[in-house]
Amino acid sequence: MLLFFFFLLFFVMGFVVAFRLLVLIRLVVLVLFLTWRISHPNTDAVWLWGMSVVCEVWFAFSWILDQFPKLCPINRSTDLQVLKEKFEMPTPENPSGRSDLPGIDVFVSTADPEKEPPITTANTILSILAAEYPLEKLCCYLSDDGGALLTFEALAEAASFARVWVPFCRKHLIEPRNPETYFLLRRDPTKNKVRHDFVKDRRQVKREYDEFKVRINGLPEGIRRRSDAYNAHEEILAKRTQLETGINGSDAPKVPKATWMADGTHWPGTWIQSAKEHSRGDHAGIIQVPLITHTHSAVCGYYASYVGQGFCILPLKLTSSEVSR
Amino acid sequence: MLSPPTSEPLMGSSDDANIIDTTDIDIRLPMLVYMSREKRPGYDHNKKAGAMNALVRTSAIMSNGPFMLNLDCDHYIFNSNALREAMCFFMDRGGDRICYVQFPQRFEGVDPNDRYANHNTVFFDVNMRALDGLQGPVYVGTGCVFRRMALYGFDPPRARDHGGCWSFCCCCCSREKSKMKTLKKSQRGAEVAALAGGMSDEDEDVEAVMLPKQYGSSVIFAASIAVADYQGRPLADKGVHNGRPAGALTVPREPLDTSLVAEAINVISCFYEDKTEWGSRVGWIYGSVTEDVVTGYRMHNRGWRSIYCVTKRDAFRGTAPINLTDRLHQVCFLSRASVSKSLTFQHSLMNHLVVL
Repeated sequence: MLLFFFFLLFFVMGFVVAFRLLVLIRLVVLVLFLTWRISHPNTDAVWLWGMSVVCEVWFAFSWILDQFPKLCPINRSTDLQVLKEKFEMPTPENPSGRSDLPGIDVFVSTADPEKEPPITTANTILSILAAEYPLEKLCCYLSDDGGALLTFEALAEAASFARVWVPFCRKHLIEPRNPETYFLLRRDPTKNKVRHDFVKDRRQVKREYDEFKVRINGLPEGIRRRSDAYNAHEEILAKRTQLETGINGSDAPKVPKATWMADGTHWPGTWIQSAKEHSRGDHAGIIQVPLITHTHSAVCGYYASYVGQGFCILPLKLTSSEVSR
Repeated sequence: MLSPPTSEPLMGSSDDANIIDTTDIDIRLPMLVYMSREKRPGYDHNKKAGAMNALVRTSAIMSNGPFMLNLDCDHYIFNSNALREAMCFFMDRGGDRICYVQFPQRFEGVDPNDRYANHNTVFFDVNMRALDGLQGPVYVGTGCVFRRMALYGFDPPRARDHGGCWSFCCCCCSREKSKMKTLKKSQRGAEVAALAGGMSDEDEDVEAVMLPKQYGSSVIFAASIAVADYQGRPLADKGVHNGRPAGALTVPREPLDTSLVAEAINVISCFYEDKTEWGSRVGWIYGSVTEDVVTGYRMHNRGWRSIYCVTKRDAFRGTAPINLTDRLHQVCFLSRASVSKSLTFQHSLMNHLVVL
């Protein structure tokens, strides 16, 4: 009977009002009960009575703490069309109709390429780059607390794949814009797609994405091989100079087991075999900008390193072809 | 010279060189930056909160967007319009008093019966919605769009106005606090006034002394604060306080040059935060297991409001722990964090009582 009454309340007054009424009724009952409990002490077992009073007051208190913040829940909805009309349509103040929206910086943080695989991070980055926002106002930052070359090269790969993926998303209004999830979707990919070249484009981009994944998988091995080759080369050079100078020929020369970037310089962050100033807790600050113009021109970056006590900025240039290979 | 994307759309073509035909499709891409902050032995790096603060400073110098979205690397944008949804709230009337818009955390890869309660339905669909009816939801660490000024530790505009019961309570709180920190408060007030324009000589002196103490020594960073404040305002309209004129943000951005990038490197050096308020009053707060919740609390304390935005199509999605061990580890971490939070709360309550 009571249950039926509450169902009726739900339908007649709406969920929130019924919920409030329920809380109110329970509160009244609670107060009545507590006054009864306190005004009727059990003289035979006072300790038992005292304990139950304490417990019941405590439960009542925690129940009130739990219920009171929930008394006015809110549902919100947005109207994207109004936003577009107000900020992105030509008006007397804004005749060009260029976007008047403020900029957004998107921060992604990763710490360890072992625990958080680079392919996941790359997918996150791709979904951000393809987001529906005026792109001169959008800026994506990846913070790599491990300072790993693997993460950086995966990011550079993602940047080059984005040149295919992002136009594809814009052209065919793809959702979600995370390639891994999109290509694993179980539903029919052609649903609501009307452009004739969709199937062809999808096949091409799928192929590109698979190749991109394979390239990412190959990165750790590639970095190791490249570094070994450079290190071996350095060792030979060091031996040769040792022979030429002729000092201490018996000892093998000490060459640091560095990690090398594609352009033949040391990676300023963490090395695979961590060395002084190149370990997880001890490396220079690095900023690289793999994606900045729409052209396929150079990928430019900068990093800071300490030389003696001074502080200097070394510019470094990698061409995009080197990065993507 | 590095330059951000041009402001005119650049349409692709149907060359054979392109993989897909991009005629009439904008092929520009947003700017992408890789950052790894400097680490040296002997410095406390403050884990994720430290990394986030480094990101806040770098981005202030390189792009200075007045809003910031924070995502974990295993979360991704599931609804490509999510950023616009957040902007609807910030650009609305009264939106200049909102410190962040929090989106629910949704997961995929959860088994259909959700045996280990990975969805946290009660938290994300009941508690957070209900908190939104008060001063706003808590910040849960990911999928949240921040206002830069709120993270910098400023008070919301019109913090002293009496607009209903809730803001009255806030005013009471802030008045009580100002009893204790009269000095600090007045200086900060002067500084906000100075940034809002109409700088007198005295104000300028106060600002010149206070800014390095709060935000560190970077001059470019200090200059970027007022810009972020201006750009984050809603459009001037009827009933909108201190709005900006329409069309003010259509001019293209300044191109990046070497000196700017050098400055961005400077602000991520490990000693930059020494003797500043980063981590105590500014940015992500250090010294807690869950720095995120504390960071959100601090903003609410200053009188900012936050918004909980549940979209029809999930805004962001992440991968959930599927096996029991991972889930137990996660729950264990969360409960440890909440215990430590309540302890610090009691601790601060005791301090307040002692002071009073």
